[in-house]
Amino acid sequence: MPADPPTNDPRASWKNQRTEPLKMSLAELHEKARERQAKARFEATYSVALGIVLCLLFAFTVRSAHQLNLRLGLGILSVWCLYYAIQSYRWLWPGRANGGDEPLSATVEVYRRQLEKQRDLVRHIWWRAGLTFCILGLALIVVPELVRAIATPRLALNVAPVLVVLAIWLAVFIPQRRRKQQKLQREIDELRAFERDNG
Amino acid sequence: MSRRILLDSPMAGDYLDVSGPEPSTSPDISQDAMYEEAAAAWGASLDRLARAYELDPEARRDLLQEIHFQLWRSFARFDRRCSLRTWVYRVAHNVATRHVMRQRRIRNRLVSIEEIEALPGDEAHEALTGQAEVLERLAKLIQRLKPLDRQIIVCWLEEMDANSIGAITGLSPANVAMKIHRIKSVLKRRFGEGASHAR
Repeated sequence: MPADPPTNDPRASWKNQRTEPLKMSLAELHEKARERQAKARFEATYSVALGIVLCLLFAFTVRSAHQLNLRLGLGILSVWCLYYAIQSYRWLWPGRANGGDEPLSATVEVYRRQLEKQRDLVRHIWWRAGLTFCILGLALIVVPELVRAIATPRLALNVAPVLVVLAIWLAVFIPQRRRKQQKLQREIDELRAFERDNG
Repeated sequence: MSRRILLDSPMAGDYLDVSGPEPSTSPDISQDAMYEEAAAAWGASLDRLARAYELDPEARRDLLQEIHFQLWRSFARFDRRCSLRTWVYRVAHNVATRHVMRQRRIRNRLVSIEEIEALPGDEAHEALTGQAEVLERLAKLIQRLKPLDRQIIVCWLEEMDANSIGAITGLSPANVAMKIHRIKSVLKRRFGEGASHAR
């Protein structure tokens, strides 16, 4: 048994620590690959199907609605669901997503790309998830009802707590999101500087 | 023939281009052979690497399995433009970094080696009595670091030189040397003179 390295040499301690190397059999690896492929297909199919079903549901509801704003709102929500199905197919379907060269790339580049992905996810959430359609559709359905309710003072009092909570949430969430984006951007810039140094 | 397969979660950029037949139906012999060679040569190093990224034993085992799986899959496109060791460490660090990046609560608290170095009174004054204590203190330090610094410290602990670390991370040897200098300075403060052995 090798002698213990000196306690003030972390490098020797690191190399001498007891390990339990894992060895996956080839059969296990092949099985795992098959499972992953099947899971990916299922998740993509589920998302696309959900989008299409909801799209059809809203489209049928449009037919039974009488008010113009309601019909418009439901129509937009139906379009949003269709958009969701298309985006799901585009981003989730195996073989369709924009590929990364992760194993080919050096680790700093992969790490930077992950940070950029996080930043873009926050920055483009409205476009990527089609939230503009969703909010517009909901606004067309809810706002006229809300205006009618606010016109009645007693109903307005009922709505007030929700509006106050919403205002507080927005006041906290927006600056926090901005700070997070700035922090991510700073780290991305640092990594880019490192990569530039490397030529 | 080129195809893309899902890495491990249905997110954009998490797909890996691979060429050749479906691994599940007709596995590539050289892919399997390369994985077996890599697992035999660097199995213990990969186990230590997983320890640097995950403290919880169960989660660590999952991470290690994921590293092995992605390593096996990556060999479908290994083109020998870099050494096998560089490839193995790139894949392993990239998988482990993605693991850290997904843990939002942990991710937001990570700091750079420069920030740790700048902390006043961050020295560990208590004497170290055994290897377990050294490893525990080292693990705590590594767990606080951002992925890039973590990659460098792990490679340095594995006794790699600046050029090898540069090939894995994509940083210039000068930048790696600068980071190593800071790592040594931090380790010296925490572990004493033995930590500053330069190799």
